[in-house]
Amino acid sequence: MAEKEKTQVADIDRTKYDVRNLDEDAYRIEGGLTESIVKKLSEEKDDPEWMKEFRLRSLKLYNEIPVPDWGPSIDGLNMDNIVTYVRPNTKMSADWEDVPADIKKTFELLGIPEAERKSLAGVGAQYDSELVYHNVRKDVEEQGVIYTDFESALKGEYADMVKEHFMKLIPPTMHKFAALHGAVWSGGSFVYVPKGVKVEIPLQSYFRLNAPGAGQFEHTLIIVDEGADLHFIEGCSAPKYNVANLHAGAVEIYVKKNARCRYSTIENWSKNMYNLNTKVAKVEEGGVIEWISGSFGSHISYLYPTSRLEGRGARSDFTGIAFANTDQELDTGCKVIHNAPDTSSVVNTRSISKGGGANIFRSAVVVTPQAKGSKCAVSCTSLMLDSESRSDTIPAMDIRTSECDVGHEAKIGRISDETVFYLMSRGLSEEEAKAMIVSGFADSVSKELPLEYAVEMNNLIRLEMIGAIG
Amino acid sequence: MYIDLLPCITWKWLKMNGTEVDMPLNASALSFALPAGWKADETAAPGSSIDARSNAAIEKALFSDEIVSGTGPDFDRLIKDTNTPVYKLTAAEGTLVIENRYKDGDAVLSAVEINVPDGVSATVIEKFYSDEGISAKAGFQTKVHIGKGASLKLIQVQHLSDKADFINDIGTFHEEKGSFELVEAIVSGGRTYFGSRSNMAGRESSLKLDMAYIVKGRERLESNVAAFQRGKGTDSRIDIKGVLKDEAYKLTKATIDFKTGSAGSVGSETEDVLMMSDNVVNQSVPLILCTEEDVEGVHGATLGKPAAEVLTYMKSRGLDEASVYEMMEKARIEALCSLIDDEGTVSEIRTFLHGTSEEE
Repeated sequence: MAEKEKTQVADIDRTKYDVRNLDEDAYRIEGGLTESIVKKLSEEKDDPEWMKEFRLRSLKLYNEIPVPDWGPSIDGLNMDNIVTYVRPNTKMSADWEDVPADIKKTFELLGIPEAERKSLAGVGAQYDSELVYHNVRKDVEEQGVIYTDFESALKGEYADMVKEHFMKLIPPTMHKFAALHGAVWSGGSFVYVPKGVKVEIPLQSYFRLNAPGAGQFEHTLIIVDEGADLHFIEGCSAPKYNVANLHAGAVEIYVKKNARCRYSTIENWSKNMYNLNTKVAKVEEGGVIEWISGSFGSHISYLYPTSRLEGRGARSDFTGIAFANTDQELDTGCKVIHNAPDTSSVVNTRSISKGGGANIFRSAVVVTPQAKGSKCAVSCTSLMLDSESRSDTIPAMDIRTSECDVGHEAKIGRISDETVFYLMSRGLSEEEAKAMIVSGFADSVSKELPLEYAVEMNNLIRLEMIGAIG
Repeated sequence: MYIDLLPCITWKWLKMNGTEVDMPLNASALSFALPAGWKADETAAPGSSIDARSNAAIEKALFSDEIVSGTGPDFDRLIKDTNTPVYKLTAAEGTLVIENRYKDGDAVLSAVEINVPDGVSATVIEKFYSDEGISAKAGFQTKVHIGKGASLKLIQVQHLSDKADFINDIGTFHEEKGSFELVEAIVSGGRTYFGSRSNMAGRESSLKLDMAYIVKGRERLESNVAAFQRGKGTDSRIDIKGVLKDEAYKLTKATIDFKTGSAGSVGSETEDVLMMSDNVVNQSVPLILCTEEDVEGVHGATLGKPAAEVLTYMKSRGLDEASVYEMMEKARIEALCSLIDDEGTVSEIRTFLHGTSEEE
């Protein structure tokens, strides 16, 4: 068996995701979620008064809103055991040399500094609850692009802009974990791309959760002004522990008139993680939001990037892949709200289930009466690799104008024996044939990613395919 | 009464998971002529102990070979609580017609349970009619046990007043190679709640469901159809076509549920909705649930107005836009007529549609 695994994943090293550093944090708040903990967190972060009040209001909502009963069970998540704030033993720096050696090594294994040198316009690296590294290329900065950690933005010269936009797309009333985020958020990034500026190469934020039993609640706020263009990449991972970890981040994206934002995520949380993340984009006239989403990790995921198409001709593209393996229930998908004339959306997803893993594709397409002339096409395809696994598609459509064109198609099935047989006749082993077919199945997502990330995604797929045969 | 529970619930804000209905109904006797060879008994309804809001409880009952209908266990309880008699019919070859003609002020509930013995092929036509303008409430349940190699074709035609509220509930259980074909024509009705669930336990059992509807004025139609595919090599096909006009509201839930052990099964569901007014509401939630590797399930939906090129072509043949829409509307029901091998019923449908029994 070991030999079999080796031949299939010879060039993939799982250890880089599982590296654990000693818990040498500078400050760790007590576990649980109470008013005094939230107040203490707010003091630690030296919040402005309005933010402190916002946190407390959110906590009240969190306690009032029931746990969702429509998705995978989160009974294993006990908030009394979750540490909501862990400050690493370092300050944020714009120089990797200033980052403590063990943390720097972790990010080096994950390839972040190398990616920054080769193909990124800026990087933010968060370790537990705070950013430890943040830097943006000078030429990008000179274009007027602001890319900074969220706390600096909250208290510095962009404070008004942050206050105007913070949790307006994801109000704490939205759902229980939006309220949780509002109460204990920490870290994250603020991005502003001025009018007409095209950021030619991507920015990236990487979120690493090292502390066992901790939560990560980063907030990402992106404003792409009129006619501007941005590709933002989010990566995340954590080592595996025997206790539950929690990720309840929030991403708010404002795409102004004729602007475009591509938001790519390769999520590879460890399989003890509850990933209850929320992402919403508001798109104005002629604007475009593109979501590229790869979900590989987590024990439980609730993830549905939402596009609110609010201006005439606004567009949303969602391309997603989810790979659920043993002990994983990935409830992923998207929501698209067509709320203006001539808006359009395309949803294209792939999911793979094996080893007892469960994939649930859940979506909502809403076309309001004012969205005349709108078009929407949804396509989801699921691959079942064994009969211990599960794959569900739950797409909902709510259409309130006749002047629209909405199409939906879904398909579920297995790898065809004929295709495997053909590839084996060309000299591939059965394992190689199946791994190749699955990689090809995911091609619609990987081709949308920059090369380095597509390679990473394909490696993750191959890693998950260990033992797919027999 | 909680009915039409979506077999896997979703976000509450969509308001698609299930419906609370308050419709007081009283037991009502049925009168029909039994074809030769058919038998009928009258029995008391057993009711149900299943939680109508729990998919886990419903699934457990289905695995215990129970017939759990589309609207759900609360409707069974209503039948029992109102002492509505259940007509137990044993089918033979031939066609049974049950005509229900509801009158002004009616609040009536009826139930039939049809046993189709091994190897028997039968047809049942159920008609739900009323005069226009009358105000009535009605409920009707059809449960079917389909024996080995047996088949039942159930044809239902609904032409009710726009002030008539109606719950139409179907549940089937399939033995090996048991086949159920449902032809459902909904021409009119005030508020209609329709549910159909097939427990396809038997190897190579099948379901073929063809439904067409016209919902107009301020009428509402809510449907919950589900194929629970347990047996090996089962086959389900659900095709729904409809037209929404004026201020109509429609919610369609259609589910293909492949359970572990249903290897070699296939399922498909399609929905084609023509939206002819800007004030209609169309909600659709087509599910494919799967815990078996060796299956193939597909779903396709088209919602909206006809494609511009179709309209252009039709106009080029001399039709104005209104005529094109009228033709497409009627074509959806007309298409069902080809599946009905009873001339009298087809004539009635055509009269409802065109005012004449002749095909236009």
